[in-house]
Amino acid sequence: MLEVEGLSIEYETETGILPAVRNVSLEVREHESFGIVGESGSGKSTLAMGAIRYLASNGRVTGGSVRLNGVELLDLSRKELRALWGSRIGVVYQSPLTALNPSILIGKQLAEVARLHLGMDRGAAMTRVTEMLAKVAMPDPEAVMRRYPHQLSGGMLQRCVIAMALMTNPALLIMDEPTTALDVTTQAVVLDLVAELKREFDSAIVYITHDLGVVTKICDRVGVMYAGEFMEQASLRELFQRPLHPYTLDLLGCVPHFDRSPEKRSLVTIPGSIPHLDELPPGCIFAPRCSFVRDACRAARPPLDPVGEGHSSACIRWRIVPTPAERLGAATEALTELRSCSGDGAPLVEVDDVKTYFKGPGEGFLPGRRRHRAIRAVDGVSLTVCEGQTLGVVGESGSGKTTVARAIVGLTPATEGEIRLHGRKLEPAAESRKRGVLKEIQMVFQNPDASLNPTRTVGDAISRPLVLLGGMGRTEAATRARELLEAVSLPAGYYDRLPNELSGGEKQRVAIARAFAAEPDLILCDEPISSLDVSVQGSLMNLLMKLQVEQRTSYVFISHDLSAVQHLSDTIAVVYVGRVMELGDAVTVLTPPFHPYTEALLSAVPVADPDVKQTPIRLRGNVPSAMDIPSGCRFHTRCPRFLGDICREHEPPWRHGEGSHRIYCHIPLDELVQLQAETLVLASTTEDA
Amino acid sequence: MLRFATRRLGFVVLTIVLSSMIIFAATQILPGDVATMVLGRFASEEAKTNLRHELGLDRPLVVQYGSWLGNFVQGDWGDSISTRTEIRPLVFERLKNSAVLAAVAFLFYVPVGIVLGLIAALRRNSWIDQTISVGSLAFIGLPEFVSAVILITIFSIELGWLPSQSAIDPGTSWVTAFPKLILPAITVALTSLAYIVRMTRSSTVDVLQTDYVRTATLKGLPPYRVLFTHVLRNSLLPTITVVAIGVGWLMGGLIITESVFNYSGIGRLLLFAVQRRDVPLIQATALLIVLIYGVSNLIADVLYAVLNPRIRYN
Amino acid sequence: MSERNVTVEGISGDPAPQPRGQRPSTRRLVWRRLVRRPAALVGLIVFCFFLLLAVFGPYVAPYDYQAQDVKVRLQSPTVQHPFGTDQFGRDILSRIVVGSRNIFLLGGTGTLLAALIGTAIGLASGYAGGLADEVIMRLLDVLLSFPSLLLALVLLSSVGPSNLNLVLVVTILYVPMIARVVRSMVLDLKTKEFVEAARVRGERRSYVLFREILPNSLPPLLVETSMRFSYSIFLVASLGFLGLGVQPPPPTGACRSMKPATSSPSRPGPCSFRPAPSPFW
Repeated sequence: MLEVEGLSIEYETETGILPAVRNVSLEVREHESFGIVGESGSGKSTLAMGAIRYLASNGRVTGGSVRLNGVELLDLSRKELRALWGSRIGVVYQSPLTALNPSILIGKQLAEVARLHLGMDRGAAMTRVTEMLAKVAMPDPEAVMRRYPHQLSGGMLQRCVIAMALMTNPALLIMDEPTTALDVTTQAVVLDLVAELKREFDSAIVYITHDLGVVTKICDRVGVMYAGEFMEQASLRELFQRPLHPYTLDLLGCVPHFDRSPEKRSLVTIPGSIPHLDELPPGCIFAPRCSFVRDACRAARPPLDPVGEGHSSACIRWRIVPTPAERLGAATEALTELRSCSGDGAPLVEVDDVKTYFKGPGEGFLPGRRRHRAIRAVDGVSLTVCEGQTLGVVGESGSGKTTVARAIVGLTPATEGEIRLHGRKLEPAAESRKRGVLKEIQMVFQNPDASLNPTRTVGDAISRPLVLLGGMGRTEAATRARELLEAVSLPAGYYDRLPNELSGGEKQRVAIARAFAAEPDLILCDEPISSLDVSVQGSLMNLLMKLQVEQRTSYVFISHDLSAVQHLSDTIAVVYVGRVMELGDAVTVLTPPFHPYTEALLSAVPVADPDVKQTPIRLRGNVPSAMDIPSGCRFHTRCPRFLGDICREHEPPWRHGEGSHRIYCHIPLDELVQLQAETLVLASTTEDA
Repeated sequence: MLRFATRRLGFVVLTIVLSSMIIFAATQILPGDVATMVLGRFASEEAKTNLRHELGLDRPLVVQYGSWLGNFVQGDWGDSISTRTEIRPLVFERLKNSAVLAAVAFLFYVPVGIVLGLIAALRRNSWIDQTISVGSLAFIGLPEFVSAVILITIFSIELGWLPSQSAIDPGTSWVTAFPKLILPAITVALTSLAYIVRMTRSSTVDVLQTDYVRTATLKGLPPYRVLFTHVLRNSLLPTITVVAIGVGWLMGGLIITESVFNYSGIGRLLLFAVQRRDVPLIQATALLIVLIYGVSNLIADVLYAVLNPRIRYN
Repeated sequence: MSERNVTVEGISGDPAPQPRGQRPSTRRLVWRRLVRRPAALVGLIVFCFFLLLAVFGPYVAPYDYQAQDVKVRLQSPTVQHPFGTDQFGRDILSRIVVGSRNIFLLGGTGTLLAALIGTAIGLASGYAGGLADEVIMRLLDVLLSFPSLLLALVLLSSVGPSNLNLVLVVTILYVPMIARVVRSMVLDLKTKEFVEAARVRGERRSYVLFREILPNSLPPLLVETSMRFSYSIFLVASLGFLGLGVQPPPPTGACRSMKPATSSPSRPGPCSFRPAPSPFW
């Protein structure tokens, strides 16, 4: 259906010509979905958009061929191309919130495609849109058509975009990170939908993603891109079980695996960073970072050659590439012993029934008489962080997990409840806390670009807490700052650099060094890795674990990514709309009985292993607003194990399981075990292999 | 939506009331004594006291302010000190003239500005965009008296096409007077024109780079339909605000332009009042201008909200 | 295979990758903002032009600005007098050159004062937030609800056009505009993580404001100030034209020579704005 051969794309920039995609080939058949996986800057979107000839004005195709059902796309005129766009070629984009025109009704935008390409009149087009929306499982399609994009949630919008793309049963459907902007539970629903539509429609799907977990849900074949070239192409299963390129192998090793063992391992890291397009190495482009490199690799660029049935690799040494299991045994240092001795620490920080309410938007006309509904961002949370341990806090956006952390550190003071450090009560606001207290709690923030003051050098950033909280002199602080840089694996020469000279991962390392500078007892990590590439995420998680072992620091690790949380944490708290739903040791939280919400999260996490079987539990609707929290159990509106009026009317009790394990649910634990034991959520076959 | 409009209205009313205080306060700290100014330096103290009493100048400032504003709202704007005539008909006569001039300017600069801005955006970085951008740059902030001189030099003196003076005898119909309006209209329009061009260009360039325009293009829509259905609807929204702010620029520009061209409008009336220190006249004209400016901003805000579904449905 | 350029006219595809290189420094940021806001670029050009005139004006002026030469009264532009002469036979170009120095000083002082006060207000208001911020901003909005020239006229009409008053008027007019720019930067920056990190390590408020926030607000502040400066020159010049400008001597640039009331009716050319008979002039 779609055949791309030797496609090359260049961008012309001020500094010269950047060869973004070089001599790339791929083939996708009808009903088949081909996944393009790569880190940022690998050229995966450029490849897909260039293939359908939609490029920035400074981009151009410099060679190759793209045939769709035998038609050479590169020879078409503008007008012929337009006849294909939207009819034979459909596209689904990364951000559903911006993909639709904000000032045109949804129905009209979708009908436009039917009228343009199917020659329908207004009425027929509208009927067709209704049908299509029903096909993508949209509740109440007719009401949705009369809405504007900003009135719908991300998941609903993405369904509209998918309906629009499939309206004409296109030969080629390009999906460019369609679920990246969505919450895990919504992502699972959309992925299910795509998998189902794949069977119903004839389209060949090109699915672009950075997420190795998502690939396993959708794709039949996968190509791994690196700096503008394919490193490897194989069927999904084969790629994950028997990767024959070192880059694929490394990439798989960067992703934390779900395992229920209390032992923690470090992840595989890829040294160096992706090469810039204007200074590609002469031989294999991965050679500088490859652990299997030989001189021959640097001599000539290896082509993507077949190495098996439907399997090709751009590595001349593919025969010696080990299996992931072999690699796992050989390359990981066990941190287990070090970790187990920090096992039962005394309570360091206790969060006791903390509430953080904000003033919501007012209702009514007159300023004095307006009533404000409270935004109950955190609504009664109790947690304990033990010395030398990591508490993982996981939840979807809007769960209040960040607000809890900000309450602990004092940036968003708690409006009610108590937070104790070493048993002593903390002032709610950071501004009213004493230096000695401030020193003990530091924070690493989500956005590496905003974490560091762009006008101060890296050295300044790290020295400042040393001087202010550590009471050091200037020279002493400078020496220590250099040591800290080395501790976070950065060259000491970075001391004089400005943040804009650093990559995202490097900035986050500096932020970690700054947090550690005051030698705090507790560091709050608020999604510190979520904006980074997979390989960088892996190395940062390793760094955090290494430093914890060395410094005996406690972490609160906040993330929406359950696999990262389970990888790092000793205890896990699952939060939903301002409340803890389940709390306990990492192992107990990840084994039945689960809170139904935890169960849903676990079924929704895209696990980067095609052999893992997950229960198909999906949540309906959206996370409720913190202004409008449902009565009774706040999860009852979406709960797959909803019992009836009791859930709607009464707050559930805490049900205590083994150890510190607690579940906030009306269903008794033994019943939950029975319900959930039948469907094992995780089967870690990679462990056994 | 109604709430939004009401709130905006509230803000505008508040702003205008506060502005009126500034106008009143500024004009009350005049160093000279009004009575002396009116009656002459050699008038008897008694006569001056009487006049002050008659004008209410012996009352506390707050009371004076209250009665002034109250009277203004009720339509009693008092008498001009220098012309000794009632202010209201005088101001309205001049306002009418200014409105005609402004309307001509408006009809010129709004469509021309939008079209030029669109052309520049669609042909981004081409020579035509460069020309339009540099040209509009040159006119932003060029003082009216300079552009007036340039226009007069070219069109009146060198080419002799249009009159350099725009004094219009009362009773002349606007049709016959139209040639006299052209140069002053262009003069006041230039600054606003430049702003509209720039705003239209930049917002259109922004919209052209949005994801939804990409969606529309990849639907296979022809470029003109992408432009008319998907781009303009969004890119012209910010322009509306600029059009309204342009009314304010116009008001400021009128003061100078009317003086240069000797056109009997509200701007020149204000200047005259300032030169004669005619306090009631200054107060009335200034407040009226602020009022017009405030109302046009209100209209812009509401129009923006009405045309923007994101605000309309919130 | 031939090269194919694949772009729709005016509608471009996905953003191209940025060329490698270090991200821009503050100086580059200022420059980029200038280019993106051409009004600011014009401001800079005008600024430089007037700066040059102010410094070197007296040296390049072809004549003494006060020298009268009755033989060449009211001349249209000639080679000797590129801008012509006024009714006393003084060279207009020389008068502009010398007068501009004064405009530069007045506009510059007013803008500088406005920048200082505006920055202080913007920083305080933005960082304090809440009701105080709301009230301050509403009050500044009131000043912004006047067309600048109108407010200048009203104020000058009461206090009279002295040099000091001109400076003050420029300051009053531009404080709200500069305060707004600074405040919006503060609002943006104070939620940034590096500011929160400073709060978490217990920095004093003054440190946060002056070491963390202010340096990062400088690029837009500098751009706004230079733009305001050029407008202040236009404003002072316009006021001069209306007879409310710099008090003689020395003259205010072009304006005084073109001022309606002082030009002669008989003189042809651009300066013949003799008002037609009107009840007011």
